[in-house]
Amino acid sequence: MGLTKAISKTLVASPERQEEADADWKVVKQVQAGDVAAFDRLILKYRERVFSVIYNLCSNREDAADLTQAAFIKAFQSINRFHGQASFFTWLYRIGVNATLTHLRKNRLRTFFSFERITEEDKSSEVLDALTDRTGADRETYVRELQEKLNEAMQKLSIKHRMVVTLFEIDGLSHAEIAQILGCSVGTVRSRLHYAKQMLQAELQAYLR
Amino acid sequence: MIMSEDRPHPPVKVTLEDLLRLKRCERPAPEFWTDFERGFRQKQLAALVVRKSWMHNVAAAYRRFGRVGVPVGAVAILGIAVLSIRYESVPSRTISPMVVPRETLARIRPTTVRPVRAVESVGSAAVEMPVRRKVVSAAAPAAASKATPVVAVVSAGLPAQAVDPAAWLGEILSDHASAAELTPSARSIAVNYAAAAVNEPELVESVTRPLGFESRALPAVRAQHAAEVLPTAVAVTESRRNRLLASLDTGGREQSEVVSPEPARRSVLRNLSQENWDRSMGRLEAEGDRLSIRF
Repeated sequence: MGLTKAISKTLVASPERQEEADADWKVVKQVQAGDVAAFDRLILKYRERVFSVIYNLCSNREDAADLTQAAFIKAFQSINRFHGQASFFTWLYRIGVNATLTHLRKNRLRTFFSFERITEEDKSSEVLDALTDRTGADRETYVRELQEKLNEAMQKLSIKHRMVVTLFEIDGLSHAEIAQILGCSVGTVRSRLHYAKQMLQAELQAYLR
Repeated sequence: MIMSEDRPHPPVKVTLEDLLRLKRCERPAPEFWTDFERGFRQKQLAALVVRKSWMHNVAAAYRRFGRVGVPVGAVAILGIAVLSIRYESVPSRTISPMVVPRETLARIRPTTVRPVRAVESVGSAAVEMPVRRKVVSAAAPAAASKATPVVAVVSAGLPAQAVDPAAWLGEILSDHASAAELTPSARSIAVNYAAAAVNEPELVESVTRPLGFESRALPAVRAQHAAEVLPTAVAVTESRRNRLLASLDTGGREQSEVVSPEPARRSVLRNLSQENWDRSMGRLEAEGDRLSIRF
C-alpha cells in the first residue's frame, strides 16, 4: 500500500478507522494464539508508516531502519501483553516513538543527516513548480537544498515539538490520536503544534509564498 | 477565443504545511525493503537466542505485578517502620530502678559495724561528702540468694546506734523492687542524696531537675525525716571549708620563715566560695545508680 494512500486512510471518517482497528485485532489474536506468521501481515501493513515517522524524527535513514526493526521486534515480544485497550497501530506507534526518543536522548550531541530521495508526486510537483521555475539538474539541486533546509529546521525543534509536527503534518494523525500515542492531553498537543509551526515559519520564510 | 494554455496561471501559494508535506515524499527505494526484511529476520532470531539478564526478568515481573506491587511494598515498608518504632519505644528491662520495698528493707537489720572501706560507690573521687561511710553487713532475708551489704551514712557526731539505716533507707526509697536489685553504689547515692537534699536543697534541685529525677524523688516528708534523723549534720560546704581554712592557719603559724601565702589563702577562699562550689556541683549528673561529673 502506498504511503499516501495509507496516510489518506487515516484522515477519513472514524468508521473506517474502526474497521481497520478491528481487522488488526483479529490478526493480533491469531498471533497470540500461536500463529507467528500472522505477525508478518502486520509488519507489511505498517512498516512504511513507522519508518516514515522515525525517519522524520531523526533525519537519518540508517538509524531509522534500525529503530524500525527494533520497534517491530519489541512489539512481537510484547504481543501477549496487548489486550486491545487501544488500536494496534497506536500501540505500535508508541513503541516506535519511545525507541526513537531513547535513541535521540542517547545521541543528543551526535546528529548525522542521511536523507532519502524525494519522490515527486502530483501535489509535490505543484509545490516545487511554484517554488522554482527551473528544470532538469537545476531543479534537482534546488529540491536537494530545500530538503536539507527542511530537515535542519525540523532538527532545530525540541524532540517533543518535532514529534507533534511529524505525527500531525507528515503522518496525518488527529490531535486525539497523537495525545494517545504521546500520553498527554489534546490541549498539550495543540499548544506544542502551534509553537512548532511558529518556529518553522521563521526558519523557512524564504520558501514561503 | 483564448486558448487555455495561453491564460496565465495564477501564482500557487506555498504554505508551511505544503513544505512539511513534501517530507512525505522522502521515501526509500523498493530494494531498501529487501534489505530491511533480511535484517529484521536476523534480529528476530537473535532476540530469541539472547539470554536476558536477571534484572530484565525482575523488571518484567514487576511490570506484571505492578498493580499490586506498589501498595504491597508501601504496606511492607510501613509495617517495618511501625515495628521498629515499637521496638525502640519498649523500655529496657536491664536498668533496675533504685527502689527498695519497705517490707524487704524492714527485714534488713544492721548487725555489725565494720571499718570504712574504700569509697567507690559514689563513682568519682571528686565528690567528697563530709561524712564517714561504714559498710554494714546486713542479715539478708532468707529468700535472697546473696548477702547484699547496706550502706549506712553515719554523720560525724552522731552515734551509729542512733541511726537505723534500714528504716531510713526504706523511708528514702520507694517500694517497688527488692533490695537485692540495688547495688552498693545505688544505695550510697540514695543515702547521700537524702543528706544533700536536707542540707543543700537548691543544689540538689539544680543537679536533678533536667533529668526528671524529681518524678521519683523523695517527698518532702522524707526529707524532713532525714533532717530529723541528722539534726546536727553539718553543711557540706561549711565543714569542708572550715577544715581547709583551719589547716591553712596552722600551716602559716608554724612555718614563720616561709612567706605566708596571703594571696594563696585568698585564692583558696575564693575557690571555696559558694559560687565556685555551686559551679563545681553543677557539673554533677545523677542518672540511675551512677553519678557522673563533667570536666
